[in-house]
Amino acid sequence: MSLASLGRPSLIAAFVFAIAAATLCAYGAIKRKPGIAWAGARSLAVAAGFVALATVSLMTAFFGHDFSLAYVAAHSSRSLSGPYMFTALWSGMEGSLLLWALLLTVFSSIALRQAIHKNPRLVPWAGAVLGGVSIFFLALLVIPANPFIRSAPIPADGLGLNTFLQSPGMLIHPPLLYTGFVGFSIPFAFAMAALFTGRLDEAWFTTTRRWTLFAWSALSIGIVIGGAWAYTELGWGGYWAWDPVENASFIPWLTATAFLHSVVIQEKRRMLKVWNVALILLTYVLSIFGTFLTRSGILSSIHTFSEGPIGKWFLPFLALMLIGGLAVVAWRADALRSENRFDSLLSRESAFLLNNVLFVAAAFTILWGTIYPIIAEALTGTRLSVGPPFFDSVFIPIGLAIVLMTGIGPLISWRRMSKGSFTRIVRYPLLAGGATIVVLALFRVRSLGALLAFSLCAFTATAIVGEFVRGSRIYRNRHGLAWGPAFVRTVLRNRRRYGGYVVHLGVLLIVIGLAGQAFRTERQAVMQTGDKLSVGNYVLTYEGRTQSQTAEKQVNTATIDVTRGGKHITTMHPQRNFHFAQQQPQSEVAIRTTPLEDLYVVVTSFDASSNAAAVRAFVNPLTWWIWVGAFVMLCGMGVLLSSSAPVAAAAPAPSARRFEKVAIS
Amino acid sequence: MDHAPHRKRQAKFLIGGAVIVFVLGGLMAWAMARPGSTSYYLTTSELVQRGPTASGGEVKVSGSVIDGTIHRRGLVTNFAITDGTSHVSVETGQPLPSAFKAGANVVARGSFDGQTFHASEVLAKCPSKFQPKSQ
Repeated sequence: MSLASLGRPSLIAAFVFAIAAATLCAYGAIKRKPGIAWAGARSLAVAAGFVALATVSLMTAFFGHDFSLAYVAAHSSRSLSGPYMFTALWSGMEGSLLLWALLLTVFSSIALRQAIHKNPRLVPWAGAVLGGVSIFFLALLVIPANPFIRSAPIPADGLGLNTFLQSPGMLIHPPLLYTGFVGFSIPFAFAMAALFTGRLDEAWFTTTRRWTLFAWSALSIGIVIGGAWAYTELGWGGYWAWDPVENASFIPWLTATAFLHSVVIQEKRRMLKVWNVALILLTYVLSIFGTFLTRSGILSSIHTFSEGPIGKWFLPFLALMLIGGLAVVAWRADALRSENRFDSLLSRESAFLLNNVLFVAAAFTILWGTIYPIIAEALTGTRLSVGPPFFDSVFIPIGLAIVLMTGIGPLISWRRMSKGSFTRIVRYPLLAGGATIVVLALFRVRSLGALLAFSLCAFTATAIVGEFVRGSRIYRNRHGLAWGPAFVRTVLRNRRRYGGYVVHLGVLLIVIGLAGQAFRTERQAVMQTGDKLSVGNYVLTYEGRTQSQTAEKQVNTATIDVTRGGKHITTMHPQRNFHFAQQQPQSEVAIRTTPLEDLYVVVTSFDASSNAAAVRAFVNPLTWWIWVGAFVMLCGMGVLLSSSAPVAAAAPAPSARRFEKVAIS
Repeated sequence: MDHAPHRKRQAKFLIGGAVIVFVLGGLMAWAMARPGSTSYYLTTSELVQRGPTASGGEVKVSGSVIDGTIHRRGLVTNFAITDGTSHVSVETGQPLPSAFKAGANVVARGSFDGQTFHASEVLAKCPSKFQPKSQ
């Protein structure tokens, strides 16, 4: 018996154990018998084991080129090997769902196990919800999306993996996104458990705080890596096109980011309880919705709506989650009342609230643009598409307002603040923002969006640096430390706060990189050997084509000499290749990247008879900062994740004294 | 006695909320009306049926590239696309996407003069995320 034949029985076993888990947990919750619920949690762990076995079984089939499995035959070939076998595993719908189910059952089992020690009262209901969600995904794998269907006849070789996916970016982008999407199930399940049990204090989100941060971090980095993949592989010079598939990952990211911020208000001031529950519900539903959009085929072409094989499974599930979730929130509305009120418009709470409104507004507008074609078709029968001008027009203003609030928020104290002290604390950031505008205007920067972006980034960066300086000064004065060690100690002793600031700095760098797009230039030409093409300050000289051949592809390499101001800078080698197995031509981009600007060169075609090359060249200013910003964000996330969960609602005073107290504990 | 200032605060928050909703609504309406924000998304049959595009207007047409119709002259490419029942000739001076080939599903944006579709952009359906439609 081969390992591959174990796949399907394992999935069925996992499905049965998930049903047992949900039933036992729900029964234990209703009858208030925790012992039964613990058995349910263990049953979910058994389900996780079986899903893992199924995954190993499919993986073995891939590495063994077992084309008797239709999925293996459709997504790999004999020439495929090494790490891209994993990419092949999740390159299709069935494999993606298997990965999803694996992450879901494993995360759920671990989270429930942790919570039994930390917060046992929420476990039964959380287990019932996670078990229920697992039932759904395992049902998909057992019935409409079975990855273990046999092929008949067995082909000699597989169809191979799409060449665009054979890239390191695609090895890590999908698992990161799924980790993000699936990770949000944990806080979602505990929020539901809090509603069912009526234990609506902050326990549900403090218990799952690390999961939320972990999921959010994975999603953030996953989105950036997706952009980096598009930039280096697809050859159109950009990294984000407001494609519905991209939006599907960005919308839940926006609501999750709102959630990360608004739980802080509940923690410190016991306010916004309904809002927080609603936000995590929304985030979860939107992440499922995103998967539905990308995997049902609804968006590849709108009229394939009804043809999507799993679309009809997702819609009722989505409806159940959304309507069921909202009904439970409404049922508990009384218990969700705030214990405090907003004291003043000029308070940290208000700033957080405004930040939340902005994030949710951004999510809503992007969702609107994404699903508008579906709505318009349903209402008028004509198909429309919504393009980047819409998304840029709504997101840039909202995004800039968010950048502004990122700077202002942390400067305002909780409850209320006098206008005088606000003016005092905001003057350096204002000075920096104003000076940036003046300097850039002198350098003839004319793009309003970019001017505002740079100026607001300067404002917010100054505000954040001010926070670091104020924190470090305490250690300098008390312990006589130098700035460096004082800075490190500041960050390490209050990781939640300063980790957050590090993430903010990373975001600012990304915004700077995005704003650089305002100055991008593009040129294209058909070049004969010796022809020159100037783009930005560069002059490209086409020096000819060389051809070679490997087992997989025919390789055509252009040699392009690059000069600036008459001085040789580099020689670039963009390629235009032909992959035999997939019968697929593909361009390999050449990029020369510097912090100031990227020179991006792509050959879109070679003439068959001569050596003439159709060349497209871009100068993309500041793009480097996007990747650096993502790295800085990652560092901040590390600091945040290493911080311990808050013990109890702390007094709302981020003063030096409290800071010391936290430092000791 | 504490009521009056509390009411006043509440009113401030309400006004603030109303302003935000109003601004957001205006922003969305403005964005939807911008050129290029929305365009018709047609199949080749629908395009042929509707006839020439109104001057200045842009539509999107989707179809698969017919084998043997791709001709390149310098930067200008001619090809024909079909939805299975009718076909449309497309001409573009723009670079074609990496995944462009005979049989590929493409979406062209541009205008139709009744004979030829003049594309200002040709996109291939994202090769990463979608399953082959029929097998």
